[in-house]
Amino acid sequence: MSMQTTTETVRSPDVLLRVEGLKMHFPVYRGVFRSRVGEIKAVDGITFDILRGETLGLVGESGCGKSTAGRTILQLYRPTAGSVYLDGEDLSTLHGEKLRQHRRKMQMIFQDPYASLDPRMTIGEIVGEPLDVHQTARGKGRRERIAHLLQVVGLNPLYAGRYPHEFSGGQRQRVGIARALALNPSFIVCDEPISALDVSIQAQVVNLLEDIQKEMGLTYLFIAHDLSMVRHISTRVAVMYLGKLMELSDRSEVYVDPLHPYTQSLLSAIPIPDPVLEERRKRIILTGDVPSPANPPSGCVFHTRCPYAEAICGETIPAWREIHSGHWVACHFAERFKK
Amino acid sequence: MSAANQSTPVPPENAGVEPDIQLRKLNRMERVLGPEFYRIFRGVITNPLSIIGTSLILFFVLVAIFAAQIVPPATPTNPYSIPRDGFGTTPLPPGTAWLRQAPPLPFWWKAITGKDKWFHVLGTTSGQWDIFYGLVWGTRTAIIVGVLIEGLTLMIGIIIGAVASFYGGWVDEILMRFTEIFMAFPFIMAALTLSAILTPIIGRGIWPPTIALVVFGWMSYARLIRGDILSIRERDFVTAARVVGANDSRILFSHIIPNAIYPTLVLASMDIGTIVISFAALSFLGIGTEVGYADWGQLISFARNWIPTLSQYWWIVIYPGIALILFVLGWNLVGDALRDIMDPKLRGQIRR
Ligand SMILES: Nc1ncnc2c1ncn2[C@@H]1O[C@H](COP(=O)(O)OP(=O)(O)OP(=O)(O)O)[C@@H](O)[C@H]1O
Ligand code: SF4
Ligand SMILES: [Mg+2]
Repeated sequence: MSMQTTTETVRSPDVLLRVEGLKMHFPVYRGVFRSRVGEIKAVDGITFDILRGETLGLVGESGCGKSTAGRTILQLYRPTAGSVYLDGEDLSTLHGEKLRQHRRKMQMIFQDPYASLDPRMTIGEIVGEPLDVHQTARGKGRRERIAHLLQVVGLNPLYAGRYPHEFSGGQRQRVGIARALALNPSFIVCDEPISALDVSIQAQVVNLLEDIQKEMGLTYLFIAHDLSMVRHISTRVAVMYLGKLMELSDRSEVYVDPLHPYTQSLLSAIPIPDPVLEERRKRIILTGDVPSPANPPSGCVFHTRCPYAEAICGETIPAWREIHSGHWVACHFAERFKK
Repeated sequence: MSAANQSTPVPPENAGVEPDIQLRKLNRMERVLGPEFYRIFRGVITNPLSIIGTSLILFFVLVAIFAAQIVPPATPTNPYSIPRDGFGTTPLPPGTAWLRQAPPLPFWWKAITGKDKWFHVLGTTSGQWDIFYGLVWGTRTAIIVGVLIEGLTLMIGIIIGAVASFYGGWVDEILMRFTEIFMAFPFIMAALTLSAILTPIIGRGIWPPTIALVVFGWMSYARLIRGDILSIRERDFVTAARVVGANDSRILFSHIIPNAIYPTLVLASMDIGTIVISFAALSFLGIGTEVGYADWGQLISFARNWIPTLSQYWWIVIYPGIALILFVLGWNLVGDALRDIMDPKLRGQIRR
């Protein structure tokens, strides 16, 4: 069913965000003279679209550059190369006041609900900060808007005068969500918004995010470190490894018919409740460590750990190609893995 | 879709509301002061050591404020000049009648002493300077000097540390090397030399030692606040402020500095005592205020020539010494208590 609807949207794409060849390399300085000794290629050329109203899940191991990708898209880091178009406007060319104005349209929800709220501000001040910064509401209107936002995320507006430390992790995360909603954005980067929460609270927060998405027609980039976390919420899923995208496709295809060996290995790590399927499926267990993003492998970045690697993999970078409608993959031999 | 973007969101029905916890009631104090400040305030007024410290400081502050009521100035134009009862070198013991240059009688004198003439309450020191007068007016000097030097030092330290950490890169590198150069000087020697150089230029008084102590005293604040700003700067709530569109100055002044400043303030409160000691040390070495200026360090310095016979003339060091020790102790106790309150390891026990 979801297959049907997404092929629909892919055919008539209403692109909200377009990322083109985005790179974020952090320079590494050493010594007294602060000479540049290298760079960490945290994000190394990623290209994809996010469609209006969808949730794109972005998955990968720790350190592969997911957060950096999210933050570079939001221009919290200025990209080393590439462009980010939001509603057709290239954010990477905007500066200062112009960029600040565009921040209304894109917001972020953080992983750590303890670190992302200023401990010296009341939750009312925290949720009200976007309104103050953009002067969208003052006085009574501002108070009402804050109360409304707190209500939207399921918090009692009477607690606006309270400080974050009085609340639980899940409630703090709701405050973070209310802050992200304050300016009526169209796009929100959710950077592992549930990873730090108790399992019992995770579902509530995911449900809240989904409800809000429906109400406000939001578009999400939903970052997570394993595929099981984004399965429920995502429309499409992108898999990232060492700063590059490995595979991107409709949710149903990624889980059922993954074309990239790395995606397959990530799926192997998730237990399947069905014992028959569990028995039948082929497992790929990854060996070795993730190489350093300061010195990524040549050719296909995954070749040092890929069970199917051949000579060409260490030499030629596989193209990021659309193997069939809406299914993107970066592997020389993707065709072989088709079911 | 875009229409939906414009409209205000409506509470979704199934927002998965967590069971509504009942939050603790806040008292008015807590609401006015904010959580951190209230916690510090409560800690300071409940910790027994800091109660002693605060009382000591309060005592000295009251003495400083009411110096003119406790001992009316001998020369109204220059109250800080200690009146001297003659020019003899041998110190007079406590209780000796005050014959020359006695100040006007204060209101409490008759009621408490039952006499109707001044006598030297705590004796005189070498040169016949009255110790009681010197201590009372010296309290003003101590507090003014302590607060003045501390304030200037703190200001310079915070500015240098904040600029270094906020701009980073080579600005940081240069400022920190500069700080290290200043730290390489032995503190008292450097301050002594500088204040000796300054004295002929700007004249005797509290300024040469003040400037010298400030010039060689700001480094620990710069380093501390720099480190704290560097760590706060990376915290998510700072990124969150940038995400909502806050500009640099808002981020610095309403998020970074308020979160980074407390450890530096604690250090500063502990240092006030030390500063007054250093100031007294410079006075003791004969640098700083003019001879006869009401200043504890100088009172002690008059005892220099009497060191071999101090057992006989004990009052010339004991009384100024006690004043100095209690003053330093007061600030240290408060500083220690503040540090315990601020200590992140202990913090978990106070709060969940
Ligand atoms: N500001 C920075 N300066 C230098 N290097 C950075 C910076 N931010 C991230 N990196 C490096 O870039 C790489 C990618 O980091 P990133 O935080 O984006 O990974 P991630 O996929 O979000 O990981 P996690 O799951 O742990 O959050 C890491 O090697 C990290 O050390
Ligand atoms: S290109 Fe080669 S190394 Fe890379 S994933 Fe495909 S088979 Fe493995
Ligand atoms: Mg991350």
